[in-house]
Amino acid sequence: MSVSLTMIPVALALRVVMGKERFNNWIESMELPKKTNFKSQRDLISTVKQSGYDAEKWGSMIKTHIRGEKEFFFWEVRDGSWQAIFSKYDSRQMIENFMQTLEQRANRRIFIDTEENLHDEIIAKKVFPTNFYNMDLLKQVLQDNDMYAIQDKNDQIICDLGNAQLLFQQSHPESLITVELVQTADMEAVFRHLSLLDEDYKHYIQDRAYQDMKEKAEEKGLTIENEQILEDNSIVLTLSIQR
Amino acid sequence: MEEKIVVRIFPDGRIQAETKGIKGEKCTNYMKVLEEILSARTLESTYTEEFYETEQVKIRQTEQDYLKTTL
Repeated sequence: MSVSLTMIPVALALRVVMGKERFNNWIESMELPKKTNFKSQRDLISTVKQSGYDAEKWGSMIKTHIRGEKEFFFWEVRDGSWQAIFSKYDSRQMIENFMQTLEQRANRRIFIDTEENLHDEIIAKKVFPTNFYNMDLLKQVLQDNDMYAIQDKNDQIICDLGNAQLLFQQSHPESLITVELVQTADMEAVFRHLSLLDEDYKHYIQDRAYQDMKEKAEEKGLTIENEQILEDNSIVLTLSIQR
Repeated sequence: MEEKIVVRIFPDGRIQAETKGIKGEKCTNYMKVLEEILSARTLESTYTEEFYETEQVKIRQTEQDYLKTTL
């Protein structure tokens, strides 16, 4: 053995880490607090429970589940009042539904409208980096995932997810593709779609590298002697050098 | 020893390659060949002791050739 190499295809960057854990970390820093007029912890717990939700004590906070066990948020005292701490990327619809339902069932006004809360209703427009360099390949991956996408005259790819619109842009053929999230109602769903795209794009890159090796090895004086697929789905090729 | 290259293509697109039995700077030539075939760029390369050993042999051989021509 003489040399060991680590390489990365030019169509790929490994800068953005996608996946559920990453999303959870990211979401923690994106809080969306909603002020309430609960007078005390007892008032909060009894009102929430009587309205059909749970209210578990978690240290100084109260945890409430919404949509069964799948989603939850915490109630916390901030600036002297109890606040519901949602995430900026929770579905706006889900938050609104919860707030309305709670107020209807409790038969009283609970959440306080503030300028900050009103500001939160403005739809966020954000730009994020991706791991993609190749627009044609990305378009292919979008189509194969049944994500409706069109390429406009500026070569931007617009992808409609129904409750969100993604705008993929590349300022220069060698620059990283960015994704702009427009009209985003449910950030978690969007992040799931982006994670799926990221995974599929990488599978295409793996397949392309394998095909390139099969097609071009011979002309470079190499013969594929053995092929193997490992448990982690890595492809291992053993090449012998022609003399 | 037969000259071989083992290439591992990971599901996340990363590629690792190891040359076996290829001596000296010939290894470096194969780095370029792999980059061309795979449309990839090398992020990291590690030379093993064998690489340096063969390089030293070549240096010693060059020194001997130099001595032969000058004596």
